[in-house]
Amino acid sequence: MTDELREEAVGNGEFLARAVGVTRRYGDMTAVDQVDLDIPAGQLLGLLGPNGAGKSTLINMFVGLRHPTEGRVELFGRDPRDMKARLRMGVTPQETGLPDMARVGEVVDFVAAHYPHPFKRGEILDRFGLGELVRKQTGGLSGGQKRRLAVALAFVGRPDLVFLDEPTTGLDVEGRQTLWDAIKEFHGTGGTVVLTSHYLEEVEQLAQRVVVVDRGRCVADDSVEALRRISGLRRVSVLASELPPLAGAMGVEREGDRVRMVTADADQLVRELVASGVAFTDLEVQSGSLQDAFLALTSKAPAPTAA
Amino acid sequence: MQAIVVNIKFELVQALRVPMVYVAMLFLPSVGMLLYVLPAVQDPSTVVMSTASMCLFTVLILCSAQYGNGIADARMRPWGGFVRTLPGGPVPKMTAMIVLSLLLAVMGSLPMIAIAAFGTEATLPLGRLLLGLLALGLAVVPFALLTLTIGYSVNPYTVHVLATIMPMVLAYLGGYFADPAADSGFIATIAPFTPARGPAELVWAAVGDHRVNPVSMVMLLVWTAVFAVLAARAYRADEGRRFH
Repeated sequence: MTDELREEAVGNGEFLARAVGVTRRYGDMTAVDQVDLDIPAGQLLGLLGPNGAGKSTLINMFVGLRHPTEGRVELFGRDPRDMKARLRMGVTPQETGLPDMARVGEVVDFVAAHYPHPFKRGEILDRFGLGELVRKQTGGLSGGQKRRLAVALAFVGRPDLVFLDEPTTGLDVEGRQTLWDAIKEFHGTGGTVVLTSHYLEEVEQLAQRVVVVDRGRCVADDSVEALRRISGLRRVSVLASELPPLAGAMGVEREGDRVRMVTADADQLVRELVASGVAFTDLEVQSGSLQDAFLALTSKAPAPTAA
Repeated sequence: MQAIVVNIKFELVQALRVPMVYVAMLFLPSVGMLLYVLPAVQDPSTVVMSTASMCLFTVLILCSAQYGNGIADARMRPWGGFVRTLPGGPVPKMTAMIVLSLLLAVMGSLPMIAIAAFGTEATLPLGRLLLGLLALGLAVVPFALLTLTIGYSVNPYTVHVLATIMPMVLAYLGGYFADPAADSGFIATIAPFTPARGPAELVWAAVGDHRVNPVSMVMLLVWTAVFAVLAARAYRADEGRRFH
């Protein structure tokens, strides 16, 4: 974590949850390997990683569904299985498995009854665009509606901290926007969010801090901007009919006259380009996306020179 | 308290929207009544005892389905995991399931009682009938704890097999298909030590002229305590479906 983020956390006064040296094994397979993770109050944290990286196992340990093989997980300073800790936490399951026979309103009431000051049924359903569906059995909802209901359930009990495991998987653009708005609103009023996602765009849009998990380990933990900087990658694109081979260009794509290059040192690449004497127009330099950073960190792309 | 009420409502709603599941479960004991009890038994007091045995068998089947299969399903489904993250703990859910069991035990016994009442000469004063149903309700406790243990501790795929076979085996070993008063023979010798016997003796004593065997009562307490500890441990250790 960067110093500014840590200061912000300390300023707010507490870590809502933390993992200390946590390892989880399933038989011979190590899903989570010696992970330390602090979740300070008020942060929107994105957990990013390929399938099977250990994101869900990590979240399941925070919400008390799985126990660490080694190490310690705390939720509000308690064991995650402690009911007092759970009162302030909301979670949405990765898969959508609502009871088919129950109606939308009944499911919300059921969850609400477990908390001292839950949201009103209509209020929470409207916020997630489900107001019309109160009387519908969950088995009859569309995939996107089920997904939105599942996410809405995480917020019903007015939690301080929510764990959203792949909240927008399988949603259309509109449904995703509705969820993003709800998550932003929750965070805007001081809520803390831990979010896993396959969609880098989503993490870039929502998260302040990104933790990249690969093969059970945290390979990066920083602010979204810093992570982009760390990766050091830039996209350089020009219009040119012909280019000589350039030493600094890592990936070259051509589309008509538009040439796009990924580079670890944009300045040097541009110098090289100019020195080559070739004619080009419309030079653009962009910072690399989180996607580039992610690929670099999980070593599935050519590694950038050390930052 | 609110969580308990809502859990009860939720269990009931779910159960009532698929009533055929429970109707199907009553099939076996009803057929047992019609094919074996009615033709074979002439003596009215024996009919009462046999009917009581079939009602107990029904409760065993219902508990197996409700706790064994029900818990196994909940462990396999994301919803079951989600419910475990709610700050209610196991108490509201358990209370709700037991209330549903009691209702089902009474409802499930009605067909057997009706067959005996209208198909035979057997009669029973209302007071004894109610006492019998009360004892039947008590039987839910050890049966539920036993099947809960299985539901939580065994691989969910295996639970379905066990939940189908177990009621039959326990009922047989507990002497439900034999004469309750028999005092010799293999079943009569081992029955008092099996988990299904104790509750049965209470039901028999409530509806008929049956002397409760003290060994069965001691074993009933022992089994109940053992299953309670095992069920609590299995609940805490459960992490849903496991893949290796």
